[in-house]
Amino acid sequence: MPSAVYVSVVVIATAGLIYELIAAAAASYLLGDSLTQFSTVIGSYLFAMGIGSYLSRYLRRNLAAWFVQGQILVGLAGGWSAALLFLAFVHTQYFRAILYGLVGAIGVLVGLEIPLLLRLLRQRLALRELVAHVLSLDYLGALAASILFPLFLVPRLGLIRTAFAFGLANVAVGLWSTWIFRQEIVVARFLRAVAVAAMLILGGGLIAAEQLTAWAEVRLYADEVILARSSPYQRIVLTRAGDDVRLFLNGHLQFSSRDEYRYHEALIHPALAAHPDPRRVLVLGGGDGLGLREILKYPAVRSVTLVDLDPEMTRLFSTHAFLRGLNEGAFADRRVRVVNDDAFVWLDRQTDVFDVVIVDLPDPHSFSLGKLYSRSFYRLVRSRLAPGGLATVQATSPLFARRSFWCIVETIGSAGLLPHPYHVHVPSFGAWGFVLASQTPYQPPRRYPEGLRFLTVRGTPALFDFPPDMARVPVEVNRLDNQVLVQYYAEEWRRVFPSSY
Amino acid sequence: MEVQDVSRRDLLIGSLTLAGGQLAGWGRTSAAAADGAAGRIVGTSCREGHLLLGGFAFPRATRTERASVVIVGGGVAGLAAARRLRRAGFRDFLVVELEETVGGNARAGRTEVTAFPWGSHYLPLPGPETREVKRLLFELGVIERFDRRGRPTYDERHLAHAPQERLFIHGRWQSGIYPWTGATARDLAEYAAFREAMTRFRDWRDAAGRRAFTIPRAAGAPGAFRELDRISMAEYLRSNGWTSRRLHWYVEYGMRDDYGVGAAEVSAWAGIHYYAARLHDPEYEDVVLTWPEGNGWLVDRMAEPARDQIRVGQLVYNVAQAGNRVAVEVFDLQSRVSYRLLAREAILACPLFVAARLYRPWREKPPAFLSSFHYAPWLVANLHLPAPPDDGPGVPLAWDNIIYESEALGYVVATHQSLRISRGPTVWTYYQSFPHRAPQAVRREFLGGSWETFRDRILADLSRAHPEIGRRARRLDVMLYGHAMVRPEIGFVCGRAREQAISASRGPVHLAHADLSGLSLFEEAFEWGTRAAAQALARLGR
Ligand SMILES: Cc1cc2nc3c(=O)[nH]c(=O)nc-3n(C[C@H](O)[C@H](O)[C@H](O)COP(=O)(O)OP(=O)(O)OC[C@H]3O[C@@H](n4cnc5c(N)ncnc54)[C@H](O)[C@@H]3O)c2cc1C
Repeated sequence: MPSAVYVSVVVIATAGLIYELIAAAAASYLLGDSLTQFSTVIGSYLFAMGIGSYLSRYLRRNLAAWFVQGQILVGLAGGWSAALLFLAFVHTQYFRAILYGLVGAIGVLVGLEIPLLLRLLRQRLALRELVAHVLSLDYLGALAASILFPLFLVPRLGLIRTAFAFGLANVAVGLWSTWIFRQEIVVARFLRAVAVAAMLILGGGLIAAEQLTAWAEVRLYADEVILARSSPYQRIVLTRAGDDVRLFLNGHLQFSSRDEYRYHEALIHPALAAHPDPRRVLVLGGGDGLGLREILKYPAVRSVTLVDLDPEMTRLFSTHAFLRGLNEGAFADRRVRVVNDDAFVWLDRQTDVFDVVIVDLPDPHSFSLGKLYSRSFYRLVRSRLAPGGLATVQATSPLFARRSFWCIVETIGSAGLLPHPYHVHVPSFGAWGFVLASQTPYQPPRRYPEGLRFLTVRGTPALFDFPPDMARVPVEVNRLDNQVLVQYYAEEWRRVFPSSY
Repeated sequence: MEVQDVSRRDLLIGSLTLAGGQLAGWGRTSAAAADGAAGRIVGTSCREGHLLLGGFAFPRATRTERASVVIVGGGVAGLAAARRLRRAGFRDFLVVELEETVGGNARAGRTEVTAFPWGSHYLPLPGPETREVKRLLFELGVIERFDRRGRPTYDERHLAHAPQERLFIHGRWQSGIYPWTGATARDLAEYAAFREAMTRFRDWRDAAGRRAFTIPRAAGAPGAFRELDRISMAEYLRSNGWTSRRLHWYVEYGMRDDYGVGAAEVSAWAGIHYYAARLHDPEYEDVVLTWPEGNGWLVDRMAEPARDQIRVGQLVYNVAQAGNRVAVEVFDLQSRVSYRLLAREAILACPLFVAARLYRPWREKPPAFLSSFHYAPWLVANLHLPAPPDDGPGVPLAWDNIIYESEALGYVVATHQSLRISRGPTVWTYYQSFPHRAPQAVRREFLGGSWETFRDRILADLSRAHPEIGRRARRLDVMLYGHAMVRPEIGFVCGRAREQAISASRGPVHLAHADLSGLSLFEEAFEWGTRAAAQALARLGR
């Protein structure tokens, strides 16, 4: 009998620590500042355990039944804790209240366990033996949890599944205990039924964990999530509302299928159609292949090299049926070569030159992305342009991020290229800016390929005209050593979306 | 002969006499630590360097080679001398270096992830007086061109990328080193007044148009402000009525970081030199030049063209005049045999306390100036991280990351200059000087301390800002410098001992080391090396 109890002790000790780690990890993941989250969660949890231990004195009779009920309750609360926290974060305003409420409740229940067990076993074992065994096993369980959690559980199962698995383990201990302590329990049958019900609820959660994750994310995005992938570089999420499919990378909107043609026509054609013979094209970024689709409309194009950091992106957009439809199977075109590498580093190693270079990289959200908008970077681009070559850079919104936009223009100019800023209206983005860079004075195209939905030869010159609210402002050049752009960008977008920064 | 035993005895002598050879590092290793990080105390030259202390009978030289110029030491000064000789089209020289790699205090290490510094890690932008180094930077493409007024334009890849510095204070990272967080109006006023005073020192010129505080020192107005050498930097601050704790911490940090000496002991002249010598370029603000391997990047490029003239793993143990030649006796650490180099000119590009053990006249009768040269010990550790830890609360990871009121100096990130957007494995270089302890006591601890002790101390310090660092570090290697740099103490920087040492270069034996400046800086070492080579060339009639 004791060995059965000892196994239970290890299980409940492990589970107890796991719930605490889950709450702290979820809080750091959702709120950031892991130091604070870990210390406040662990502190309140330990305090709640103290309360639980103290409360155990009020339980006088039916200790075994109480123990079993405690296990079932811990199992349910702990098992659902991670899912609840994620859902609470997206669906309610009271995340912190729910977090500490849950931590407190689980802590109290876990705090009750060991005192109850000790008292239950008191009649059967010498106190000296009992305390030594139970407490050492308790600590052993804690060690097991602290090792398993970061090394195995989180990477393999994720937080939500881990929680359900340990919830099940707690309830299993409860169920098993109805046999271990059968002499002491009068209502064993009833408790068994409750335990089985609890296990069903938890098992259901375990099976539905994937949907729960998706549902939690759905609320971060406005629409239905139809695909979500994590690559080592980013979270790729695709949503759909009616015929509108949107791509988000790390929560930032990349395109909406309703109006992306405006963005991609504007990104590609002013350069390609103006070049007399665009044989060799380079695309930096643009792993969705939508820019490629436009480039491949030119029979003169002999080769397109697309450099995107994330193999998951290019794989998804060359294999997923719906996405392949969006880019019209661009990746299957024999002229296209995909390279998965860091754009700056890759470009630095190149000796080939290109007739047109398209730079379609994420906005400068961070210092590392800011390097891809630096004078050094544009000088490298310049050095890889063939005589007469042209480059186009996506350059964020000249309306919402006016200084950022003009900083990119200024920086391209400082790299020894002639910048030609222009802008278009993309409804899902608002006013959006691009910079065309040339070595000699630039003439807008006199004809475009057939079938464009947005650009016209007559309308093009107007794109190069900036109304007063987007007109040039004085800015500094973005260099690697000052990274002014990242600061402009953060300040400007913070004004537009105060909550997202 | 059982060399192992003899050198162990030498180690003992070193710790007892506290004179010490160059304690540039050690060979003791340790197994992987319980918590995952493996590592060791690296370098071997402590044991080898201590052979110079006597008690070890070097085998007699069995052969003789000839070279017109022999350079003892392949640090910055030695390599600058080699560069100067080659520039004159002169190839008949040899550089003999004790360590397995050149660079001395500016040497670097490398893994497949990145290169990283073992010492000197940055260069301020050269001012108008820093001519030779500017020329080197131009040759290496770091300076792209000079504008009409002679002002350089830099290839910005070599400038420390933004964000350059951050400080962990009150549980958060702030940007910049000055502790703005929680500063009062009074603190800020004192800081502004201090900066203004430094600007005045910076812009001061004598009748001939020379500034007082320059790099190299030798280009400055002679004797200007030498009275400041009679007081400490802390006294200088107090004498201006500046008492702000934040200002004192800020200046103290600068002194510890650049000189390894606290503000209470460092000469105010040297302290002000640190702030006033660097010219403020409005275009570049206070940015510095740096590379993943620190100044090792420059060292490698200086050494590369002279690789056929450089010999590593060679301990020079005797330099003596032999007729109209200089005999340089060398012990080859690998083959354990000695040989003699007969030279017409010898450049001793090693620290002065080492030169005094090599050069026979000085060994027999130590020159008086020697006792004024004191050396600061340093510890440098490299932490190998398979993935960067969280940036922590506040501003993101910078190149130089400092923890407020820590005993150590913080860490620089080797991959900061990387052009990748993806953040992968990295190496952090952790620095510590020991300003408030007797150098001898620190050296004794270096000799006796185990790797585990140093590791635990370093991880404990870093975990104040990065609680998870102990789990993240895969490897942690420690380099111990018993005599890392000359201490710019009160009275020494503008004192007579230093001048005597400079004029001690006589006849065919030339001294070349940053020690001669009293300020341990890359440019000073470079200047002395270049100068010694020019003198040698002149004596050779070139
Ligand atoms: C931790 C640290 C950080 C620093 N950071 C900076 C910085 O960021 N910027 C900066 O400007 N300066 C910095 N410095 C100072 C700078 O590194 C030195 O001033 C400069 O490298 C000194 O060069 P040197 O050639 O004069 O001397 P050393 O570097 O001392 O070179 C002497 C050489 O001689 C060799 N040698 C010695 N004895 C013998 C012998 N008997 N036989 C053969 N060879 C021998 C040594 O191995 C060594 O290679 C730093 C120094 C340290 C220690």
